Amino acid sequence: MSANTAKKKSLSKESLTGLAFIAPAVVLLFVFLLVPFMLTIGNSFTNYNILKPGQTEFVGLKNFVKLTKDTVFMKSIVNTFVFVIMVVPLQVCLALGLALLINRKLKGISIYRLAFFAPTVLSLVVVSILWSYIYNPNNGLLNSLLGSLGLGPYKFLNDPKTAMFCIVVLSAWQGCGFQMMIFLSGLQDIPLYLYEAAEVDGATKFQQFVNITLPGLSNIAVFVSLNIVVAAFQLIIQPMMMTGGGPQNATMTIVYEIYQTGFKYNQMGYGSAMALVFTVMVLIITLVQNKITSKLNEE
Amino acid sequence: MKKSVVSLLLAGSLAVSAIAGCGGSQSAPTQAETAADGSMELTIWVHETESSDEGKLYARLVEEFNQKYAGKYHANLSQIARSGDAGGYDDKINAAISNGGLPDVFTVDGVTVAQYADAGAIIPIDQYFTSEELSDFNPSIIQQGTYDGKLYTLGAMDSSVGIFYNKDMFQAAGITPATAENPWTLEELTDAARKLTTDDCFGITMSLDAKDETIIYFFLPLIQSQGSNIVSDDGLITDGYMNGEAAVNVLTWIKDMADNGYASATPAENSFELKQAAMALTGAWEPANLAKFPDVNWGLMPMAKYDSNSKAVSACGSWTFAVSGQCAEEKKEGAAELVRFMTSTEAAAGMFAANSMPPSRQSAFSQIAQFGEEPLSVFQYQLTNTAQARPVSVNYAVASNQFATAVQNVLTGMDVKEALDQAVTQYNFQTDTE
Repeated sequence: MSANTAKKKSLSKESLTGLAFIAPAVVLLFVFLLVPFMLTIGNSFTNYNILKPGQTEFVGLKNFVKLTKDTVFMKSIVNTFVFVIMVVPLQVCLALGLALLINRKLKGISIYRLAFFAPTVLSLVVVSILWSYIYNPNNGLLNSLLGSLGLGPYKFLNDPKTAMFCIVVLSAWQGCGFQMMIFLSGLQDIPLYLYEAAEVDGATKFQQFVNITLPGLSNIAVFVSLNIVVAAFQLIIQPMMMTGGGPQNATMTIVYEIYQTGFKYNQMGYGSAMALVFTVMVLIITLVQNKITSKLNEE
Repeated sequence: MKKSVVSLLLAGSLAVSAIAGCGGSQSAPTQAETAADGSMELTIWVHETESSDEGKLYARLVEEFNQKYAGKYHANLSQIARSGDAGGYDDKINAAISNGGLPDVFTVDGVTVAQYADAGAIIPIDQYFTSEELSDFNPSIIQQGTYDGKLYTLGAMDSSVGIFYNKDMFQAAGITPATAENPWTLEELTDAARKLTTDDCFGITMSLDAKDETIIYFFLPLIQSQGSNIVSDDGLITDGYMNGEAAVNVLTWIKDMADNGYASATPAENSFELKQAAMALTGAWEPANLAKFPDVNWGLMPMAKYDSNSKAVSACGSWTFAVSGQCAEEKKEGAAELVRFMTSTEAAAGMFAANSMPPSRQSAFSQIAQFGEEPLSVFQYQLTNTAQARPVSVNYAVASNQFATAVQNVLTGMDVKEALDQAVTQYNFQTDTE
């Protein structure tokens, strides 16, 4: 009996310690994730205006009906998907290519590593401003370069047809350094004897790449693309700094539109409805991705 | 080993982004202290920190206020930085409106007066000022602070936009600049721009790449010059205004200027200062910038009017002080007194010294020698005679943003009428206007 109580006591003490350890994380998650999320759901059914919190009323599904007629929001969904579809393959390929390039034992290779990684450390705002100078149609760096080849000038960010692609290129450039490091660690985990054996068997470098390197990196590639997809859906800083969502809404993205509606137009209720739709969309995509990934792992 | 490198990098980049995300958005608010002498405590928020001369001026003024009213009022100043548009300061104000944490007095951007007044976040202050006092302010300062027939805000500074020109280029092209009283018409401006345009020099630079408030601030006067506006007088309707004849005329002119190569749709930074443009349509902050380019021999002309039949109108407006709707009844008088002090002649004259913006009142103009002579006399003339405030509208943010978007759309190839109609449709949609 007494032994039992002692055990119980120590157990509860242990679990208390455990609880104390997870408490900070739970509290933070609760305050900064769960509560805002619940508030967003609640707000999306109201006409909440930031400046008039006292006049908030329940409006049912009105915000969601309005969403279906919102041409700019629809355009922003399309734009966001176009961005994701373009940036993910580009960024993965760039990251892999750079990782292959710097995966050698050469003198001074760490300088290259640093150089390729550097854009990741820079603030996106700074990078965006920098690139808008590069893209400037009048005397920007890129047009000057192309001009010396007898091409252009191109309007880049000022042409609705090319603006999004310009943002894709800069985003991939800015982001790929980080994934390069992950690929690099993956490359260095592939046992060297596989390559040696392949060489003995007379496999070309290309065959080695296709049959050893790529399969060896498949898990990491999945992780990397997941990462990029999630980040790509949150595109806002680049269009905000470079195009203001234009020209002709060509670079308006979902998150930018949510921000604009909620904080610039003060329509928190309507903005919350947008955010809720966006959350559900990302949730579905993540679930699908999870399914595909687990299937790949089974094979 | 390799994995630990990756996780280290991950942690590092997270830390960097966290710092970048939170860094420098606001300074710590001054702790409210209980005044030992039993004076009434007042709180005031301003949008500039002590890192700028303007912020230093606010701190000095509040100190002087506390000395002058020692034993009666004691003001506690919080200086909160703005971060980009609608960041920092504005976020804090918006949050405070919800949670009841507004100070007694705070600064409000002139164009947001209507929405704050409509929300009850600021209260009318006319009863605390005599009409004699108010008559010293620039007419447009009163116009910008008046919503629904009541005065809500007063400012220490104003702003103005004119056409800066390169005197040497004008002389070489044989062009006589306009005087303050006789502004050019758009036709004359276009004509001059055409003559001044060369292979490596634009006739005029007009910040056409701006996607923000700048567009309406620069070009609305040309619409007002034709007797119209972008919204109705009650600030609610844009149909027939933003897509009306006057707006179509102005956007057509902007488009022609860009299409003919007289003005760049995507101007390079400092193109006027670097002599890549002969004229610059820009604001009162420009002389401070030009001081860094001493080899530019520049002059200042007034804002152009639409044509010879229309009236001269110029841009204006700036930050103002307001008494908050959450100010306790017994503190209102003190709060109004603080607004009076922060917008005094001395404050307005000090503002010019701090950030080179023109003062909000005539008595301050007469104290500053620079406004008595060219080039700055043009700004004084405009603010005294031709300035018209931007619309005092609860939906101003939407209207302004849609107008800027329309100009961008036109410059990237959309038809003028189509772009403006789309702006009206979007405005109606965003504001639930039938």
